[in-house]
Amino acid sequence: MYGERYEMPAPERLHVKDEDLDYKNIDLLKKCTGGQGQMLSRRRTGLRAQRQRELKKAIKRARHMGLLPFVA
Amino acid sequence: MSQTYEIMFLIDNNTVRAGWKEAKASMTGLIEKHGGKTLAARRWDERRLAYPIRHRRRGTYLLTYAELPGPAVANLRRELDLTESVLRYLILSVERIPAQELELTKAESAADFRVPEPPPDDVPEAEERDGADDEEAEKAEAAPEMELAEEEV
Repeated sequence: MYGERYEMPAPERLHVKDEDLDYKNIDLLKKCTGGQGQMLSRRRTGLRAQRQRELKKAIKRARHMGLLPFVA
Repeated sequence: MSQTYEIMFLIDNNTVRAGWKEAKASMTGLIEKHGGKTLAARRWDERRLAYPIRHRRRGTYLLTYAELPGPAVANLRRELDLTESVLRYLILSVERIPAQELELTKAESAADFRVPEPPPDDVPEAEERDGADDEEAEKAEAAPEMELAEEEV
């Protein structure tokens, strides 16, 4: 058991690459948040760094407008 | 130099019940008061909020696109902070207006466009609250009237 390296299976990625990351696109943003409304990591969303930053902005804007919950 | 902005308002449903046209006009009026030009304004959605804002469980979103001179934005923000009917707002600068927005605005200003009434399910929540202020009393009065209006239709 020890000595053998265990590799965590990569989480299943979402396919949101080409869609418009806008705060009004709630259905898409909901896919990119977890059960408690937390943002998912780049590992999970499969986005490039710049797109993930856009996603971050969009989620935060949506939260401000009461469209998405803050983390419960 | 003016710049195009996308301004989203979250409007109190009580204000919307008093009349959507008036609510919209007061918002575009605010933009124009600060030297802006409203290019598009439409009802984006009426939905349940993800969390209560000022004890409101639902709200109506107004999506507008406007041209504003830069210094006016700060003044507009200050005024919106003081406007009670606006629960939240979001001002973003955009490069251009999405093409469908102009059409949707036109469709909304057409005479036969009817704005659906906001559902009344945010009322009981507010009534349960202790120390109801004038606003709550108003809401309680408004509710029976609305039911009458629905019967007429």
